[in-house]
Amino acid sequence: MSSPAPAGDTRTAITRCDGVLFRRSLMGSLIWLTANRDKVNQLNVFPVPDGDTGTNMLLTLESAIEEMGPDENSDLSQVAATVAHGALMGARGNSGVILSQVLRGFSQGVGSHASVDCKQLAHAFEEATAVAYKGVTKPTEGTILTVARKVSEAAVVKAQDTEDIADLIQSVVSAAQRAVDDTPSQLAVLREAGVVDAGGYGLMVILEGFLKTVKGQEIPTTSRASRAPAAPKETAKVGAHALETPEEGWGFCTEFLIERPAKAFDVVRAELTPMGNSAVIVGDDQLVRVHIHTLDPGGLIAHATSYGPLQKLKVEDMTRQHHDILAQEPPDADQVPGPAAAINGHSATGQVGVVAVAAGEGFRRIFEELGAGVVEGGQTMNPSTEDLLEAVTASSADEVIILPNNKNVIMTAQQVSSLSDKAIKVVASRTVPEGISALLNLDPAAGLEQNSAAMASALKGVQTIEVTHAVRSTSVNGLKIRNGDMIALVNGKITRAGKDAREVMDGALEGLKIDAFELLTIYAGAEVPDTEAEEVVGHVREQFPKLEVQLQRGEQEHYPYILSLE
Amino acid sequence: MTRIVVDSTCDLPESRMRELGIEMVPLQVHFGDEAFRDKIDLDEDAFFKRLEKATQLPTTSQPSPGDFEEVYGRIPEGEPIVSIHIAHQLSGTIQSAKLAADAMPGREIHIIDSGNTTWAAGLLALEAAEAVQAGKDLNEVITHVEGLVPRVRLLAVLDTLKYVVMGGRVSRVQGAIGGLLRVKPMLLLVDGVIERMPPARTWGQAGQKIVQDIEAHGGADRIAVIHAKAPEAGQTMKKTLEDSLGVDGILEGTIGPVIGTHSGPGAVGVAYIAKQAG
Repeated sequence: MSSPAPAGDTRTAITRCDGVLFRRSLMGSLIWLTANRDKVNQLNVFPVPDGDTGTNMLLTLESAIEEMGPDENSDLSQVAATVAHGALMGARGNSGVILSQVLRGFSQGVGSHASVDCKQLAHAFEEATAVAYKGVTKPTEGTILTVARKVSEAAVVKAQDTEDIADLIQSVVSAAQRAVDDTPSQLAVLREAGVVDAGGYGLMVILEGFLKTVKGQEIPTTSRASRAPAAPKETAKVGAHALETPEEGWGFCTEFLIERPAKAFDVVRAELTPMGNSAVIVGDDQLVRVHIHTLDPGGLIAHATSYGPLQKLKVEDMTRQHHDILAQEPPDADQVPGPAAAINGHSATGQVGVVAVAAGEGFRRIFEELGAGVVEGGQTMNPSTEDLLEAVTASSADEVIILPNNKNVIMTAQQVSSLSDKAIKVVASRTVPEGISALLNLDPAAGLEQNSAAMASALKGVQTIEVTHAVRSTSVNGLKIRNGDMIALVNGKITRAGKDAREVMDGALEGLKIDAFELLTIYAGAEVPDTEAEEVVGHVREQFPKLEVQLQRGEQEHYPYILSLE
Repeated sequence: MTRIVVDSTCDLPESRMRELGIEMVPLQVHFGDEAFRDKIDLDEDAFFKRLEKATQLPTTSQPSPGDFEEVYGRIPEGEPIVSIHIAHQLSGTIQSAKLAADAMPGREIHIIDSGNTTWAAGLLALEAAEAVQAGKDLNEVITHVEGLVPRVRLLAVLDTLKYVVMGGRVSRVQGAIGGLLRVKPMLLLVDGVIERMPPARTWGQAGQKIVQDIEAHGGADRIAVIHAKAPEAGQTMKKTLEDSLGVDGILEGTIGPVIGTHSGPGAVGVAYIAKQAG
């Protein structure tokens, strides 16, 4: 098996990539991404303090690499699988989640090969792309997905006329660079902003770092990527934000365990994997855990039963219903639980738990008081899949609803269900007020499906205004925004900019049909003293005498005010 | 002619009861050492005034079997009695009624557990009294009312869970819910069981949740909107129901001292007879 050859013309061709080369190269990727993190972050030109693409991808990659542990392993199939798992656990933000899917697909593409040649490596890239696309319900071109696709296409072509891994990666990097340059022509928001897609750029950096190691080049720890991204111009929204978050997925999410299967684990995995999508089949010859999205759960289950009895079988219609067909449930288990826990006689402790993502001590208290487990994070630090998984595991409930409370955390939350034995639903709350509104609709004794539906519909009942500091100068929706300006976002859209928090808040409120609402809750941020918050409340009460106005301390950072109208 | 007996928690106005010939047995309300007969020694205004000033919450107690015997005894012999009462899970009232009936072997007394209270039990009493007036015989009246028991629902929007928690009807853990956010807790009472509903943050939301409950049960045959010292909120609720359900003839009432002790002031309730049980 080959190891990196010296740089320059004299190097000998590397014809196979094994676990050691992959490990070292991926570490090169990490160093190169670390060096370029700020560059990637700067492409995140939406001027709100938000989870940064570069940081999210870096933390995801770090988690992937940590998972490999200190020892080198020459078996690529094992290393790639380990990396995929680590990335999935550490995935943060939408770009991190997609990166984790790329690595998962790569691992699937490698299959059980201890090392791969160029053609097999190209195949792994193809799988990486396929899995990444599947991870997103409505794939958007001009994003990291497009870059991944161009990379795998280039790899397949190049693999026809080279046996040198370095040559192949070189073509792949060139393709990535071209694809990144093309993203503005595919995505209007990038074109207007005069920037390239941040996630795509991050992937390109990762591949560049990989190539440098394969070629045996020393990687500078502070340098720039081969091409600096165009400087952000006016009106900007980065591709990561433009990516459509998957709403519900498709088909049936089917999960079960097989204890001591009649066939070897590898055979089980090989046979079941093609029977659906997003297959996560883990375990060993003693116990296999299967998670597959399939349009034909019946066929899948019938086949799987040939290995032995299935346990913890769960089939979830990802667009509609959720059926627990646990074998141990009595036959009359289709009785729907009552609308709420009886106070007399029964315990009202819910069997549906909630995990909410929130930043700020005040918000934490509110969520906890309403019975949710809280994962710190949100606006500036997106929690990882593992952070969410831990909170889900810590919940005493077997069925858990996750409230991401941030659009950049939704995809991460959606990764959790494949990693947990618990039944999990993500109610896609994009703001903290939406999350609170949803949580108030939790019915302690109703089931997971009923609750997630009721909570999802409660999201529509609340309007969110967020007031924050612009973190860069730009122009959005015709608004000129200078770094340090106050901006108001209504349901995530920047609608006002100005010098003063109160002024932009007023403007945002005026833009809404206030008569249609009864209650305005103002959540004051950590930076706002009580006296100022009370002044603001008094001012809003004067402006809108019919509205009930409540003041709460959210104690959130970066956002002096978050308002909820319902 | 069949006569209808209720307890004071049914909260029907005295005039209406007199009109329909309904007899009432009062529960007791205690402020410290002082005991009052509900609705007789203590009307709603006096009660809520005292409640505001009280350093200690009042307690309530069921009528004694003797109280029932007295009322049953007032009704001429030969007239059968249908006695409709607060759910046995909520009060020992019905136990006293049964003891009284057992002690009066010569009388035909049929006791019905409404599975509910305040105007939800009151609606059953109205139905019973109207059936009597319409000339139905004892068995028809009993069959009619017993058929309505599983269909009668009471939804309450409370200003605070404090009173219900202190009164021991809801555990402390549940009472902690939503204190910071000042939500409006909602309770559902049906078949003798109080269930906590997801709370509302505004009266509008609360009204819509009640509309949804009514619609989910095929609509309502009869609706009463009641309140505890919250006439404006009661009117808003009534209008919400009228507008959203397109119905009229919604009855209006108040929550009396005994139930008011547990709901606290500011509560609004909707009692209704659903077209479909469940």
